[in-house]
Amino acid sequence: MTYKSAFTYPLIICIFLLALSLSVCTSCTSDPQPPEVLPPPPDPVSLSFVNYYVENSGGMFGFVSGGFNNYISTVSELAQKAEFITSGVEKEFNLINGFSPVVITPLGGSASDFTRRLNRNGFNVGNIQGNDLNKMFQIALNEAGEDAISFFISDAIYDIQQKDNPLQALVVESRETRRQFISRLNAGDNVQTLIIQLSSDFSGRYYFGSRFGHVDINMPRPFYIFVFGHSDLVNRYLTDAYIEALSGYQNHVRLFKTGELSASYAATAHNLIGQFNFERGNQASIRSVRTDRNNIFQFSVAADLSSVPLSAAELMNLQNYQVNPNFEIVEIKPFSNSMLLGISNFTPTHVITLKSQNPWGVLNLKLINNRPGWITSSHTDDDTDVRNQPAQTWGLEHLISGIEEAYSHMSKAEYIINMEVFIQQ
Amino acid sequence: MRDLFLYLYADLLSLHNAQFQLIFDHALYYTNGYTLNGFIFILVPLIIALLFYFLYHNPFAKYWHWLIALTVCITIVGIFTHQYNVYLIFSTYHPDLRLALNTPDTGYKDFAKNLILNLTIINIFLSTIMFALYSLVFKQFSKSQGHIPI
Repeated sequence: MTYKSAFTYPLIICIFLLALSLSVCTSCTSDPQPPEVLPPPPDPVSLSFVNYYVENSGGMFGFVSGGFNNYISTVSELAQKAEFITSGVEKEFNLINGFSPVVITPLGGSASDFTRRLNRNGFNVGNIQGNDLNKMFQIALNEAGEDAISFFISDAIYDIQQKDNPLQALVVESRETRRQFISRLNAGDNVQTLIIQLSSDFSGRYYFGSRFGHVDINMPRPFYIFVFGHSDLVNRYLTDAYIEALSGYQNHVRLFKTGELSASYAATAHNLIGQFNFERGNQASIRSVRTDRNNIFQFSVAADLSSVPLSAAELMNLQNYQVNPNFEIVEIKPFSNSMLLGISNFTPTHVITLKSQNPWGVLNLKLINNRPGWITSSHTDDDTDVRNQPAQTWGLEHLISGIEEAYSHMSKAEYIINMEVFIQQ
Repeated sequence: MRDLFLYLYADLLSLHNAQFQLIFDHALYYTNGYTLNGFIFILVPLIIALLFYFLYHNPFAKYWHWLIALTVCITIVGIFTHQYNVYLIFSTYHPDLRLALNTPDTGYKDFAKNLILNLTIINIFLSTIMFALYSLVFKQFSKSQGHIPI
């Protein structure tokens, strides 16, 4: 072999390799991978109309008889809500009472005229002898739509006409409530029901729900504001902060169709115990997962829960999350930039840390709409001793159960959001 | 190509630590740092081997001449790898990574220093293997140094 030929072939090979590597290098840029392009947010729903239905059956007179109190303050505040004024929203005020038929007394669109009716004389119209709650729900629900919110203010006590078996009557009423709500939800739009429990001084006649008769009382009693409307509107105009600042506020719950929401989420190494590698191109998948020497694997899921209409406290409550039996939720924290999660295509709101000794498989982290404890603690089946039940409402649990069951029946899933993470060995 | 070297360094050689993902993403992956680190341990030994077997003519060369060439190779690889990764990591433009590196509590700075050292050691090791492989091939065609290293 000559000197030239001995050198030539390796040289050709090396030049080829160099050319290949140069071409690869020049085709590679040092620009970072562009962030995923997110679709533009949908146009926000706009509010055009607000309907107010204030129950003025005899049992409500006690709230407007003792002078200025939480009831009058809150109802006035809602009637003259600043954002409704600045948004130029049309309003319609009504008193509503009666039992078969229900009587509606329109009061026009002036908030000041309406608030002047919040007294015994102003309430003494229509049929104060009874109230058909389910019919009232139907009326208020039907007025709520894509651009309209309805308020229904009541003591939420069913007026059962047959008092010989009140508990059976409650079940019947509850099922009728469920029917009314299913009928409304069947229209297909995204209607949310917000139930706000408040307390106010009550000075007057309390009509028993569980039996005939009444008793005069002068003590705090619960009243309720039911808000119906498109979920976006209700969340926007009735924020948790606003609701909790209402005079006499006690509790609230939001009921909405579940299984229709989605949230951005990603597995992260926050609070990591053990080891894993990220799956390129899929933030919901991790691989090469290994436990530590104590056989523990712990990691976190960062999620954007800003679209979920639950309060901040509910989103931080571990009881509102379901997870695989082999996993345990360690903690839930609000996201902060100091966590350095390195997520670029969305901004998380919460970081949920989970732990397991056998993590491999598909993790399903579900956010559910648990019934808050106040509903049960505010319920009573027997209001005979009402003087010692300042915070209880006869039949409340049955009423809210009827609404809950309607939403549950019309929901696509039992959970609000399911965050699925693939954990590979 | 990028994912091949990612697999080599992060998975096969277990360099990856998810707790410091910002470094692996924004200093090494998206900047093609893995790829260029790979080219260092592939190309530098190739060039040194070519020079040794085809431009350095010494029919009386011994094995220790080859060792000198190897030493030169791994020195260059070590310096290139170290300086390149120092640049990649500590000159990053990414705001989260910069914040992490400049915040003592995060541990990012210490980890980055160890990572750079580990990458340097790994590349030195890999370049040694590559130089040996190139030597076995090129010695077949070399007129003067066909007898070394063995």
